[in-house]
Amino acid sequence: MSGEKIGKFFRKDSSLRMFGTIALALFYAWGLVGRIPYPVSTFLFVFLFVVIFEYSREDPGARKRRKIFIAGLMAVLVSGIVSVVFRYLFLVKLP
Amino acid sequence: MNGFLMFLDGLKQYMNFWSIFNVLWATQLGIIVGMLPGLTATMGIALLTTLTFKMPAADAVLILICMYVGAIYGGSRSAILLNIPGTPANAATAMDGHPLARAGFAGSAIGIGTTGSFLGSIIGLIFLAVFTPLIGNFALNFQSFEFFALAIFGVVISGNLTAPKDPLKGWISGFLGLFVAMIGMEGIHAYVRFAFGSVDLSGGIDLIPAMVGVFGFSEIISVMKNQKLEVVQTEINRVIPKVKDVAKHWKTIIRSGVIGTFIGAIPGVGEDIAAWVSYDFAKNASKEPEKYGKGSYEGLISAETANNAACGGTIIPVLSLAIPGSAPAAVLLAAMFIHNVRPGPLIMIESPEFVYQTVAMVFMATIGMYILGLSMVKWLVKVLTVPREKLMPIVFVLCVIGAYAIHSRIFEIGVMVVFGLIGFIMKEMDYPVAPMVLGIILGDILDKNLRRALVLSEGDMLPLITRPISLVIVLLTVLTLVSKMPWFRSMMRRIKQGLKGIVKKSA
Repeated sequence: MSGEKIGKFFRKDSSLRMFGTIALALFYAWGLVGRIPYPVSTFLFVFLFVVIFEYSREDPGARKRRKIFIAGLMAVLVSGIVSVVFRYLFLVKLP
Repeated sequence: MNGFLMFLDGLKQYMNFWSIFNVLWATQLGIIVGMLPGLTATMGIALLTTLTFKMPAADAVLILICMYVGAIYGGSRSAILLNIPGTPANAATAMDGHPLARAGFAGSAIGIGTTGSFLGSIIGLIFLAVFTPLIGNFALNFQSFEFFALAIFGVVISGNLTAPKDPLKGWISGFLGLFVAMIGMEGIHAYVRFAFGSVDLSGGIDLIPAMVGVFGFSEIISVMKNQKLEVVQTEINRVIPKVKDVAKHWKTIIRSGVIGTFIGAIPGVGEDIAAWVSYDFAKNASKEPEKYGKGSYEGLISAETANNAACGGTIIPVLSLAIPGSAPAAVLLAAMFIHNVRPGPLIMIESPEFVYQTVAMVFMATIGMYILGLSMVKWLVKVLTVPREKLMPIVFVLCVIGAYAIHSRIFEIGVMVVFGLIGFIMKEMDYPVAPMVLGIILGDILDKNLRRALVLSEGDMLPLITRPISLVIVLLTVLTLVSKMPWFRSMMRRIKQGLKGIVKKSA
């Protein structure tokens, strides 16, 4: 495989999304969970994931702010609900 | 008769508010999980196992079976509306379901598909009730050599059927699973193998985190990598099908139900192969084969009947032999072990009522699936419009906490991630992952039984081919292996031509 082809592969939209997903997942699973409190790590992961994959430079300012707000709201809800359900309903000691 | 009474007893046990509530939410969740591309039945059951492991066994297994039946059915919804099967089991459904939706018959396609799934599930559960005790009683003749041979056969046939184009890839995947199962403390003398000094690895690789990785994390990467999906913009007309529209396919329904159950019962093969084989049979037997692939109700009903019939079929070897028929059934088996239910040949002696209780659970799930499948159709279509960028991080959060929750070990999260990456690479390279999962489950059975057999026979391997049942299994394994080899195929062709020549001459 030539260098040009490799470069093309890494610039492809699908490759960027694939590597982005793997990098974020590894950052959350190995870098955050167990090192900082679980709700905080989950909030950071969900927020970053949604913002990174939904953010677009072409979007007008108001839309960008709305996307960031929704990502934040979603991250708070997901981390809060998952933490409470597993901690108090399933009695799991959170990592 | 005794079995029927035990089935009624099992059913009576679930005729209370909480059980019905559990059936409804778990089946509905299953339908949603099945609908969403990227969330599979296996992943749904694996994640629910982690949520239900503190519940009593009867409730937990009921919930998992509802998730299983619901998810296998739910996949048809996205197959029809998106042309993307929600679970691999619904790939054949998309062939005719989607053209029907494009032609404006989405409602009737969903209705016919749901009825096919319902009838298939009923046929599957009848076979489950009849054959589990028979196989269970027969399996009482199985000893260590037979179980060892059966484990090898399971991996080989699973490899054959899940990678029909290149079975070598299926076998490699299966044996990779067997090697993974060898990691950690072995079951007879507690000797630690392949742990390389790691305390975590000495406990072995747990099935649930590995499966959450293979069927969860790897799917997340695939979904994020692929193009966005477009839902067909179509008016959903009448969903509840007319009796005559279903009744005219009665032959296809019975044929597909039997094929689905039979293929489901073969270790590690699963609902997807069942649906494809049934679809092919239906096409060959059809009066209108030219309609297949262009919007044939017969094709749709053949695929949907078979994949749900396979659910019952996959549970037959789970209960009678403790060997799963498919990947979701493998998690179900693992969940049963977690809940101290011990399926296997002794189940018909130790707790025959559990077999019929399971039949009652499949029955409850089937009824729940049919009612929920025909209602809230328009509302549920909205679920398909949830963007993957918002759904996938939630799924990954559940994968992480699900892998962690059973043993509360961070190590399990690592296992989940590593197996997710392995599963993704395997899928990208066209290696089936189901044989690997089967290998992880069968590895322990294979290892323990081979060593036990060798202790009993004082190191002699001959009983493997001198004991009749074991010999039959060994011959089947060899036949499965050589049947895919070019020299065997050309030899069979020559024999066929030779026989034709003899027949012509004698005529």
